[in-house]
Amino acid sequence: MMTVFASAVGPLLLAETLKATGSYNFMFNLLAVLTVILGIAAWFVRMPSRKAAAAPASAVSAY
Amino acid sequence: MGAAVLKFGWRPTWGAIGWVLLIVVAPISWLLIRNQPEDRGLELDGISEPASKFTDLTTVEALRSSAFWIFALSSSLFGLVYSGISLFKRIDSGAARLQRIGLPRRSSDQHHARAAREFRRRLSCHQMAHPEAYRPRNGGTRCLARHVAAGPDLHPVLIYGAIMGIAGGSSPLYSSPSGDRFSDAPIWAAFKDGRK
Repeated sequence: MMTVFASAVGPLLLAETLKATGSYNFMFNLLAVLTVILGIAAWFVRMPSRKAAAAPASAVSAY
Repeated sequence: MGAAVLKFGWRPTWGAIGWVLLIVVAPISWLLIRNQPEDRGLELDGISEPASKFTDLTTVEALRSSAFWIFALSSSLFGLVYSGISLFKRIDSGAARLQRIGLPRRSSDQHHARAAREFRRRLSCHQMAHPEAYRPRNGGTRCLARHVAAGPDLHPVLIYGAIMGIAGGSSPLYSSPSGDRFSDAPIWAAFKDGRK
């Protein structure tokens, strides 16, 4: 849902930037900075661990 | 979408796509799409035990993790940039761009048809000015030129340009109507003022 919303908003943001500044540069520079920040954050973020399911008795005996 | 953008403008077109997604696609998706067979009380054929001893996080647990937000924002940012660039690039590289170089406002199909006509005219001139290039020993070139001359649209022209470009041959695209190569009058200049 977030992806769809962002895709819908993208052209509107770029159009408003063009209208306000006469160029797309500000928005693309801002998005580039955000991309770098998110890339660094994705590199260092701790992945949540999956939890063990409560396996049925027959399945437990098989292990 | 390109035709709708040219006819109604990008904002109404973009809004219409959004409403269609909200009113038509979202309800259908909500009614028909399920994540896994278990959501409908079904199991995969031949499997009576859990496929994995691990389970996924719940929605609340996922929402509380920073990894979820970082990757969700990253994919959203990609969608934001991609949709913006693809929409405005399409518009800028289409009719608006042609208008900027002075061409009258027409649909891309009309521009293609005019470009194809002008190309065929130049090809004919080129054949007359440089008959040696179309001698029987150059059967492929001659056959291709005939096919282009008979074609109703731009596609044979594009194929011709691609093949001649790959083969390293001279292309009438760079020739003036008199047959001279590398004219400074590009092909669109011939119908810039609507003469064609």
